[in-house]
Amino acid sequence: MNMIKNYKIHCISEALSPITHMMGSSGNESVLNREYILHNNVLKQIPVLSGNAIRHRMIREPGVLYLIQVCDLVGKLNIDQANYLFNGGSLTESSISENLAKIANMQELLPLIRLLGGSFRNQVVGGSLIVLRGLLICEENRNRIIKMIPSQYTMPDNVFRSSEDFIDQYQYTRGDTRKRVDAKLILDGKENNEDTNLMIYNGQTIIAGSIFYHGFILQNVSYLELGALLHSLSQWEFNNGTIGGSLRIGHGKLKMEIFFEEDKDFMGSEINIGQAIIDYIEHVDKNKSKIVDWLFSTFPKIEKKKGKKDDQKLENNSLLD
Amino acid sequence: MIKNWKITACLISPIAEKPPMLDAILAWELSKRLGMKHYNKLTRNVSLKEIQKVPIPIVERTIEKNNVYCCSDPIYECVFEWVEHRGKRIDTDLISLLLSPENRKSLLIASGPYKMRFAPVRTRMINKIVWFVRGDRKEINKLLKSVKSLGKHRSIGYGLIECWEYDEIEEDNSIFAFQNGNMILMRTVPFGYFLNRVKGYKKSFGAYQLPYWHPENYREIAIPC
Repeated sequence: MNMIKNYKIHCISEALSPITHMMGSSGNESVLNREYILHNNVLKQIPVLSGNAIRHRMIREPGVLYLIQVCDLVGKLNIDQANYLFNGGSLTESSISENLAKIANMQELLPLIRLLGGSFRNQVVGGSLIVLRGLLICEENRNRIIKMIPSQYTMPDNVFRSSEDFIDQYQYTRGDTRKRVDAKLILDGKENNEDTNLMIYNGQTIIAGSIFYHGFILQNVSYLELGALLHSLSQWEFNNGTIGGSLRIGHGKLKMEIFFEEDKDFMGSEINIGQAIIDYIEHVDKNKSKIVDWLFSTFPKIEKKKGKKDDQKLENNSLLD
Repeated sequence: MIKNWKITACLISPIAEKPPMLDAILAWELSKRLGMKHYNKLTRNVSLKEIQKVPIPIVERTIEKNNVYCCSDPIYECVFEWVEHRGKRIDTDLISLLLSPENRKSLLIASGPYKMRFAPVRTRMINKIVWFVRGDRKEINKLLKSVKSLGKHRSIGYGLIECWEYDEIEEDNSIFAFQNGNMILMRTVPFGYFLNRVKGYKKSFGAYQLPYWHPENYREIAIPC
């Protein structure tokens, strides 16, 4: 039976390549996303993976791409549907009534969207997922990590070092065709007087081998929502499992391990990750036509009202004909 | 059993915006469990006359004909405050080919429904938040144990709670506290003549009862400072 329950999932992720999760730039140098922490009565800025990035990259994007593939929606979506699925939608209309049937259908057909929440054009529907921030396992975070980390996880030796030990710099150069050895053969020679666009750019990075703690709290969810979350995570990992920027040059690769706080559910039966994922896949497969119907009825194509200008255009066109 | 309690929320991640009132948290949680309209269906357009009161396990007291809960405003020390940003953007390079051909057109992203944002989030490092309450600990705990985080942007990890702590205290410090013979205001109350005898407040405009954000509740109030 599909019992409603709370789950807490702990994740330990190891960086397999440099992580460049940025919060801005200083000149042409990118600066790592950091949060403040009080360590030994001194304020320090520690690198952190934002919950927003984890939520989008690990859950929403892979989960939605899977739905689109299975429901055969490639090349058929309108912009509102894409905005709803990939970004949670936008509230653009006021409402004086709640369409409960629409919400109920969504929650029944789309466990992933029920988990994440979103907004129709005229009503907001809350989600049930809390995504924890990705904490770098380092000396400054020691107190927090020890309180949060699952007991099943064995911490590697000497991992509690200063966070600065985990930070490095990268530097790349944007090339200029005119500097190539064979430039004269390629170019027509007219660009010689222009300024060069050769540019060095650099930034901070978290080194490969660093370990992050993050997690997910699912409140009042059924086994299908748990399956949706685990399925999205497996899709994310299958599609190279990355976070942050500069993926084109090999940054951001993570290897994730997950632990459940309790390995038993409300009824005392053990949580079977594989079965939860299979149940979710079967659910989507069984309901794909209903999902498409719901999506097109909730976000129909907006017909533009014909105004005076349109009438004028039509008239002009008919005159031309 | 009704007693005086000091309730502490120990936080493990920074909180976004301001810590909330405890009666608001309890009302939110209870209305969610009872399936009441307050939970995500109550908007500014809905009149409060249509709304049933949420029976939260906190004692109410009447001050000059106005009922207020015996629950202090949140008391906390902000260790440090900074600004983080929350981004939202439509990944046009990802969705372009997923859209039907008639929808592949120029998209306004500076305003409107598809506006891309890099919105600032006021973030505070707070280790503990304390409320003084007169109420039923067992019932309060039943509700609070499901509350995993506080403040805004909870879905992306802000305001995560490590634990809730309860300490029984003798005095009722929920609305007024006595210090060196002075009566100090501890929670937001409607502004009135009784405040002549009270210290530690400033006059403001807002709500003193649930829901705190609803314009119908707005009036002159006294807030602790």
